[in-house]
Amino acid sequence: MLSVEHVRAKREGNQLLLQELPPSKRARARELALELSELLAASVGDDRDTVEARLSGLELRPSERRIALGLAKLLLDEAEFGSHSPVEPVELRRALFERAATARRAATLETPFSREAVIGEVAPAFALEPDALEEALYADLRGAERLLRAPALDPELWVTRYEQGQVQAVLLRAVKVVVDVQCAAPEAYRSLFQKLKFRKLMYHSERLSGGGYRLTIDGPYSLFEAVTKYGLELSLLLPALEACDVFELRAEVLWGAHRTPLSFVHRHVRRSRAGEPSAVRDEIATLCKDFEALGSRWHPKISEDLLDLPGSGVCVPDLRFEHPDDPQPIFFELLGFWSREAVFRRVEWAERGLGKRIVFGVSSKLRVSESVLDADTHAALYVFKGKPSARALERKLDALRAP
Amino acid sequence: MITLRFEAGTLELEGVPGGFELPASCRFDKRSNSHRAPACAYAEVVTALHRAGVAYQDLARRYAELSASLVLHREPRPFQTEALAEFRRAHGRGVVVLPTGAGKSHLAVLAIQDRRRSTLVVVPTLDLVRQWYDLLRTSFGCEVGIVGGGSHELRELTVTTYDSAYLHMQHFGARFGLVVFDECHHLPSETYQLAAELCLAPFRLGLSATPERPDGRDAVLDRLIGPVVYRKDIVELSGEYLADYETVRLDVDLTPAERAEYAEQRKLYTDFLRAQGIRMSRGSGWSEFVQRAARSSAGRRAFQAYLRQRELSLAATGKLLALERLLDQHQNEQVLIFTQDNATAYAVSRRFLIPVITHQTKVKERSEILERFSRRQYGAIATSKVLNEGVDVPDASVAVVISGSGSVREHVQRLGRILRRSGDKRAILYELVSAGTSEHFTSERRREHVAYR
Repeated sequence: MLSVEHVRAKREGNQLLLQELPPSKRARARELALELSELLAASVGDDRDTVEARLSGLELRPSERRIALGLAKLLLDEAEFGSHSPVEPVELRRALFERAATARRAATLETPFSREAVIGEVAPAFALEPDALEEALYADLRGAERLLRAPALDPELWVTRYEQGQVQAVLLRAVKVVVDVQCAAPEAYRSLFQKLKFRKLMYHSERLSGGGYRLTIDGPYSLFEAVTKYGLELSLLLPALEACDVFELRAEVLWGAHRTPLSFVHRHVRRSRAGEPSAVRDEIATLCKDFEALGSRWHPKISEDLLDLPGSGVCVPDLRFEHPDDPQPIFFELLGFWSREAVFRRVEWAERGLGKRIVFGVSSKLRVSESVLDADTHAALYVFKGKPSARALERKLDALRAP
Repeated sequence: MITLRFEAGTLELEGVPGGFELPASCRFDKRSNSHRAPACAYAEVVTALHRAGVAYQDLARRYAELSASLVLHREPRPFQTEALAEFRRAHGRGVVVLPTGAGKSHLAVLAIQDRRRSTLVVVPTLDLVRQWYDLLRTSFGCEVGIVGGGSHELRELTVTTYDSAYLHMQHFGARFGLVVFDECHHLPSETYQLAAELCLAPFRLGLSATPERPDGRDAVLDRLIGPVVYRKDIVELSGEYLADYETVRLDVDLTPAERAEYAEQRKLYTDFLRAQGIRMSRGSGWSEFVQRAARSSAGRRAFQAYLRQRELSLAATGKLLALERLLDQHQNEQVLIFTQDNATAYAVSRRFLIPVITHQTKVKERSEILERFSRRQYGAIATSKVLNEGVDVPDASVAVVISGSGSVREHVQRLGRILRRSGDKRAILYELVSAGTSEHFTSERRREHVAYR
């Protein structure tokens, strides 16, 4: 992972802008990536200190330093190092230093302490020549580790990783992030909120008029002070955001040695890849088809809504059912084989009031009774065997719609 | 009824009745639809609820009364008894300033016994973790938890580092009623102070020989721990409770070749400063130099020159020759050798065949080195900075400072390593300084303390 000193950024007013690599600089970056990769490939077998000194010895123009350091960091992270010593260095040091301490105490003016004599005494016990002993003495230090495998010679890959890694590195200094995010499918939202919870981050959500949500994300303590303590967590949230279709992120960062407050903006549009599986779960797609075949007056749509209950959690429905005689939709979340705990969490949310009508689809394998949810909660449990049935779900929707 | 919960280093208050005035540290949090305060406000919040007679359910506090008791009783020294009384008078919140070797750790043991709450001890280094672990285990005769250095075991008495406390306090900050910040001058850094904010402990004890910081941030100790409740300086305890000591500065000449190279490199560096109009006496001088040096090849040459001239003065050949003489002279004493950087510490280790302790030395090996040193199987240890603070090496009577920073605190702490009283020991600290180099000014700066007058 890149760190702050590898980022090529400039200030414009109170904005922090990443400097894009124009074609000529990008070509030079690829050259640097190739040179660094080749240096690493030629250094297999050398110790880390030597390898690092070799990489930092590259002739660079001042404007190339950050990118070269960043590329070197990415390459070194990917390289494989290991220690190499014919003897256990800790044991060697113990024997050598103990012998030396005894020799120094016994030294006199006539027979002064002799380093060579001590080494000469200890080396045979480890089956080493004196020179080999000197080499093995600190062979377990990080700087003495040997390069075992160099990373791939793929300059384009490293330059792309460098460009992507800069955003994460900037977020290390973030105190708060506001992100406008839009997902066509609920799965990406669900994954994003799971990550937020896992990273112990807090958020406030608002629905945007043009679709999607605005999430203001920081940590529990951020209410009292702008701290970079959550920077790493915010940075590690980025892959979950990148799985969403579109997002625009505005981060407040404390930048530079003086920790100057600056704003940073990053926009991202997910590029779908050929052969990528559909973002909609198979069971949901099947259920939609079954509903169409049923000729029901309920029309399912993939939901883009979030039912947020501050302090408790967020429910991400899979489907939004619309009925021509009802201005308000009813939502459906398929829990399937998730844990019983997930079901009871939703029961609790419904009791607290989710603000919308919703049916939770639960597999009978979870052994939960439909009666755990009271009728006055505007929510219902639909327990199914095998796969959810459109007909049974329709009855649940009708029952919830009934006055 | 109000419910208090500990949530990731904060105190969450649910169900606060409208119109009830909470302490100023509490704010409404729309993210969770509840009130919230930093965990350190726990005592203040609970006191306010008590005073107002408001019913509350406390799900936040997860600490318990200490089940272990002191099994090893040591008669406290008069100043330790006085310090404990002042700590009590301050309702169990305050900083005690005592010189190294005066028995700050024993005072903490007395405070733990006095407060009888599960306790977290926060220390700056892994060596101190090991040392506190041994002390608490022996004093209370129970198992002690460690968080840091690859361990993550929480017990009613637990020792951790400032780094781990910063990282994990949001998880375990409700499990301790008393927190002891050893070498508490570390706490006010921008990151570490969060360790105190995210901790719920109503009782807090700070220990330091040198609480003052050059950046003035020691002022926040008052809020994070409590006020200075007791203070004694080295000169007040020297002789009676600390070993008698002397400090000797030895000027060492550079070799002619080193002198010539030093002059050449220093000129390169100072010419750059002059050309750029950078004045190192200004507070921003150093960062200005670093930034401008990175912008041109001349700058980078000047930076390399700066490093080289510094290296020449800090690790001059003459210093190693002087060290050799000192090791011979004190061949039957236990010697600590301090350097400014790891490279010199390893060079000393290789040349004189003595063990070295740096941040790269693994905990197990560090413990073994210190143990063998105390059993006199080793006569000397070289170290860069990790033994500067707190680590108890009672048998060491000679310290040799080959190089160091201009920090008064670092220098006083290094002296402190050899001051623990043991028999009729007389401690001696040698400071090796390269004559005619900028190191002289560094030495002058670090000796600005009553201990060196």
